[in-house]
Amino acid sequence: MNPKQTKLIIGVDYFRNIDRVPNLSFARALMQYLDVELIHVRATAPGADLTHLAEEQATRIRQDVSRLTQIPEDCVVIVPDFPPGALIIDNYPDRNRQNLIWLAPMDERGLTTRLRGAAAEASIMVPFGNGNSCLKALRLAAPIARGSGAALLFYHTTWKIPGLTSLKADDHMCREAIAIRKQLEEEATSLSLPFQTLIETAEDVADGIVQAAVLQRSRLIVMPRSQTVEVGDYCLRVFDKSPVPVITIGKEVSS
Amino acid sequence: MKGQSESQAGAETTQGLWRERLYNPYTVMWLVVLMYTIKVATKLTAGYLTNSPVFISDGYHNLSDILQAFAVMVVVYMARRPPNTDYPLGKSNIEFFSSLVIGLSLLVLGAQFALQSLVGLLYYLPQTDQAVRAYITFLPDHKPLLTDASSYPWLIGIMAGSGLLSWLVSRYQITVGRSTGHTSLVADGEETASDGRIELIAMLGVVGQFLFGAPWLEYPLALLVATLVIHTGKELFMQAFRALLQHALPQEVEEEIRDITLDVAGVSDLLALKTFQVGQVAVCLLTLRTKLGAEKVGFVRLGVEQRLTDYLKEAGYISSKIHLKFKGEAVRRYRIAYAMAQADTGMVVAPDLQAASHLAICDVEDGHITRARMEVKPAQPEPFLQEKLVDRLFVFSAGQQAPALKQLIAVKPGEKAIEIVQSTVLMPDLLGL
Repeated sequence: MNPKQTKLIIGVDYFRNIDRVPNLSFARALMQYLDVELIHVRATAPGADLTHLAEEQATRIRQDVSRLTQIPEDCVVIVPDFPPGALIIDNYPDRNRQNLIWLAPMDERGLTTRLRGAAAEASIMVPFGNGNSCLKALRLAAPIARGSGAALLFYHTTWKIPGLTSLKADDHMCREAIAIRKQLEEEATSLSLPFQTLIETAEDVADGIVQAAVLQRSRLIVMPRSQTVEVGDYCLRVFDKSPVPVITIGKEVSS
Repeated sequence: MKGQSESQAGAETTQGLWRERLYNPYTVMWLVVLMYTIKVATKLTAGYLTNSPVFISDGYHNLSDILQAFAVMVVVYMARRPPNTDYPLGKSNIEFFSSLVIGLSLLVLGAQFALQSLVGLLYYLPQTDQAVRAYITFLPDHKPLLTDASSYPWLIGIMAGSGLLSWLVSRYQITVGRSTGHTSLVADGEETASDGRIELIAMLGVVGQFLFGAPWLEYPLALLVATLVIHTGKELFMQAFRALLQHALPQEVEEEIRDITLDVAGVSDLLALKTFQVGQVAVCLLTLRTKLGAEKVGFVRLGVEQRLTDYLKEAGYISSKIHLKFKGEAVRRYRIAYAMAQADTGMVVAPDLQAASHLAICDVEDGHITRARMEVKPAQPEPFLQEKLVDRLFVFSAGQQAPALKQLIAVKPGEKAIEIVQSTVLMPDLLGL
């Protein structure tokens, strides 16, 4: 076991999908932030009469990935499939694989490639609602924030309470969301991570999240898939609209 | 409780109303007219009573300032007219015409003042004066103050009061001009400040004569003030000149615009940036490159617009107009082929062309296969591949080295010979086949 290897497995699919190079660049950047040494590359191995060529193909893939990322060849692990809980970098996630964490880099090569000014001016957004699934997102976002030097941004958008004239968005939050906010802020404080909380009353939740991410210079949005929503999951809508990289945590990924 | 909040709201409204009046450009300019009327009356009266050419000429100069104040009001009125179809960005650039004229008049005033001061200094060096006048025949005559002990306090009081008034009103003009975005108001404020400096120097001359019997003290100081007036005049003139000719925004502002734009997620490149100024409005035309689709580009647009608007406001522009044009990536297209052979588990990449039963003809865009068509290998594969404009044929033979991706996508244009290259993968699903 490599001493630098953490529990998190970072993987990419060695499929000819049109984003292979950005995926690998982002994977390499994440490996640095999270101090992960190995990259898992999924590739179908030849079977039956061609098994003798399996190692040859694996070697060529390792060489290719190494040349593209500067990761040593012996840190490239070829796997037939990703284990549950792995973080896979791909702009075209398999939405049926609910036991994986998918990171869509969009067109970004990492969290700090566009860095302008101090690292802490950039942020990693953790949107939250009324449920505690966002704590799962925080647990993933926290080490990335620490590794990249970005601050955490807790974001919530709420509907206006009819009859309440206050212009302050905080006043329109429901009790559950207030409790979740407190929990998120307490956890960030206990981890000594800088954070900011932004509460808005956006017209549309997904639009509000993406808009805030763009304006607040968020480098990453981390969201869990809803356990109950079947159609119109905010997480997937954010994924479809956002130019900022998005991590979606599958329903079956345990915290 | 209700009554209290109502009275609080009422107080806030009254406060807002006063602030609005105080920051109204016309209020400022009427105050300027009033100030110059008082100055003209006192300076001309004092000048004629003491036979002082300094006071008389300054009085008439202030009379022209009153006319200038009315001209500024007309310019402000025109600049405040809303945009229409003929003038989509409004007529605020008219303010730069008045800045140009004020700048020019300050340059003339400064030069005149410098000349008068030099003449004054030469007056106290008679031999040099004579020598200089032998070469420069058009030098004006020196006009000393004609005063007595009883008039000194009055003259000092008038000039000191006048200078103080100029300083206060100029600060007010500049503050209101900057907050309302009226360049002509700022320029006129600078002109008022220059008047104040000149008045201060005239007062020092009177004081010098009164206390030490040394009126020459005024002239070296006057030269310094003349330099300041010329500098202000040049600044105003150049600013107006640049704005009227739609000079780009300052280099440091453009650099910041570039940095902010490239900091927004989704922007691959900034292809073109054109900036200029209309009144106090910064106009930016940007052509951006992105790989993202329309739905995502909407948010990229929002990010760029909002962040540039915030920055330009910080940089002192009253507002900004940001025009964004997005261009997709320029795609490089070419064609490659894979030699395919039948294995027990299905098709795989063949070890060489001879062993192949099929050819996978692949359209490539920027190094990625976007379309693939499986063809049965013809009897003459080379001419077939050439006809299909294939550049490279991929095979998978044991013990060979696959080239780097960079080498693979570096297609030499016009190259006709088909190169045989080792494939990284054997399994067709890894190619999307």
